[in-house]
Amino acid sequence: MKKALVVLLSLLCVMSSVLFAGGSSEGSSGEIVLDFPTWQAEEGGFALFWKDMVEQFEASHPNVKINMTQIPFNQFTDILITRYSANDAPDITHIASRFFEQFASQGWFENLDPYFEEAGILEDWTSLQSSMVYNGHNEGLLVLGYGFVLYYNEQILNEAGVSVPTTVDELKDAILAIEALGNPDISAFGVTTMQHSNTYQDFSNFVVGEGSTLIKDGKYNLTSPEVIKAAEDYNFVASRAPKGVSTEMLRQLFVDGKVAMIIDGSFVVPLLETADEDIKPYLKVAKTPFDYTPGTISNSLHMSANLSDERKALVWEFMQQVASPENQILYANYTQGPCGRLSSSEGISDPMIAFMNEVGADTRSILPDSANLMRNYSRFTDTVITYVLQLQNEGADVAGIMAALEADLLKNSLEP
Amino acid sequence: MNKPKVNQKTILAYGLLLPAFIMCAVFIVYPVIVTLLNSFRPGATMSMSRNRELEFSLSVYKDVITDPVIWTTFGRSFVYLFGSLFPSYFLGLGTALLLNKSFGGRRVFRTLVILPWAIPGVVASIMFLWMGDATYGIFNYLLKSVGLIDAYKAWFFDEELVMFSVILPTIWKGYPFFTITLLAALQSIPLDLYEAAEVDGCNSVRKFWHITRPEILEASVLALILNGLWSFKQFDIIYSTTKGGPGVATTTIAIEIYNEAFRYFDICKASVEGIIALAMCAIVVRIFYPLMTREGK
Repeated sequence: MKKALVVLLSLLCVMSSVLFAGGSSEGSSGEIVLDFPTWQAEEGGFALFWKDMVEQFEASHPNVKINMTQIPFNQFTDILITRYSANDAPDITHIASRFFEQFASQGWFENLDPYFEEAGILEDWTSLQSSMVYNGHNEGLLVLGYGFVLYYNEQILNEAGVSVPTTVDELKDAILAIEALGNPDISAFGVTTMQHSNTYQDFSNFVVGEGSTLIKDGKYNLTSPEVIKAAEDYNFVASRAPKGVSTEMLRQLFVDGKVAMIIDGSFVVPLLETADEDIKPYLKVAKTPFDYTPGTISNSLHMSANLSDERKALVWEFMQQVASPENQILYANYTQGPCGRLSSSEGISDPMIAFMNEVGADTRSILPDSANLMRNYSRFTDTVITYVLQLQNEGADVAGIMAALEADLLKNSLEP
Repeated sequence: MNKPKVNQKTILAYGLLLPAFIMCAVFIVYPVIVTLLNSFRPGATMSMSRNRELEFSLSVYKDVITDPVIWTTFGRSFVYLFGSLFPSYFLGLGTALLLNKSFGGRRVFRTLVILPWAIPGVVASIMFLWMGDATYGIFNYLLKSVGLIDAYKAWFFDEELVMFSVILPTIWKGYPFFTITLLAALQSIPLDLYEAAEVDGCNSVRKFWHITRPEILEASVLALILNGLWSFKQFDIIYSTTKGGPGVATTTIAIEIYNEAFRYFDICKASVEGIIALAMCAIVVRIFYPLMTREGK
């Protein structure tokens, strides 16, 4: 009996230690540990910036340690949702901004208006910050909002005898000229041609860039002549693009000299450095061949509504540090992309980064202008992507596909 | 005198069962109960504490059951399930029969045959994604080289090919389970049955049909049920290759539930779909269960 009891007690001890094991966010010496999960802790220039921010913060707050952890992007949102659902929100919340409304609609984020007002953030911040407003309140600090640019391979364009396209018609002519070279290893233009969030982005670039919108006066505008024209232009380029290609693969194909032109954000700039020496000099950047520069939001910082006042104060100090003018210049230099603070872009000397900032300062958002659609962003974009993939086929019935898309959106209660 | 000893043994037995019972209660029973409750709460979101305040209703069950899309998704799940299950089984049976024979290099061959089982689904998916790449994939190169295709195919993009493309890595990943299970069953067949059959002049086909087949039936049914259930809820291979696309071409019920819960935050609908899927699995297991029990023989 004694033996049995010993065995049972041992088992219970092991089980309870497994089941109830947990970490404490306060060290034994009273040190406060701020939890900061991100997918950018090992991502090139972004990682350098965040490491710098952590070091600066820890230096100015000797009793605080920031525990920055890397989580792969494809698992990141799921993990964060699970943590928020379990009332275990991280102290510093970093998310892909397109999911902002989905998080905010759950009541998970703190209203940052009083903090912003005191620090005067909004007076000197990118206009894309408006996408961080939920129920009339700012609930996040937009870290990166950017405009799309045209990346092109000058050597291929020269061989085809065309200059850098500045209009959609010139883009189409350039594509035909490159195809006429007859090189099967080179595609003239690339878009994402698989189930991928950027498929929506590529399509919207044409719609917004050509001066239209998916929603007009609170109603879908998908069957209007302007949107149909943009969809036809998208169909022209997408049906000629390499098939089954993700955005990441597409960027690599461009850097490898296999695709002559792509439209993308600032994320491609660091990759250009990795190109072969014989290709690198020819990889260049220009404004998109549209009337308007399409832009979107990338990532943002937030504060969980459930934190203690002490932790909220620390998280805000971290946000403020990130938003400081000198650190915004640092952000642009490390990431080679645009920074959020408008006045900081004037202090950037690198021409490529300065160009990205210039483009980012004057963009039209490709995000739907609808609170309902932003709350249901994933469902909305998934539906759009289903039909946009059909637009990638040669000879697609563009008007029919757009009408079917509109009908499907409405059927699924995705009213604008 | 014996009674207290029986009691001690009983306490010990229940005590030893306790950890498993607690684990089952925490990780299986409780989530099923929460899922069931959420399925009756329209408007349920990821905030579980808020969900408790919602009223119970059957409205989402009605919406889901009357929506033809969900049945198409189930249909797609069964295409994927049967498309991967039986090829995996026959490949596993073939390799098990081969490994049951003595031949040079059998140990190396056995390791190679079982290797796919040890490879994580996501890794296997990426391998197949690269091999099936529309521009540089080796599948296209080989098939074009032998004249089976005229032009390169977008295996994971073309709506007509994509289901086959996700089934292929599932078969590759799934057949070693059958190999191991069936090999164990084959090795437990008494050799004298085969010797007696040879004396009676049976050829290989008759020996397989009258001795091997009935002897491995139980193991086969059990392995088919287990693998079938795994395939039915298969997520990683499909999600990491196609994310359920293009469009909804490879959106099986597992992907649909994931999307509803973790991408659209509609916990109620996801729970309803989960409960329906659970009920379907239970019915299938109930139908086939007698086949793997002595009573069913």
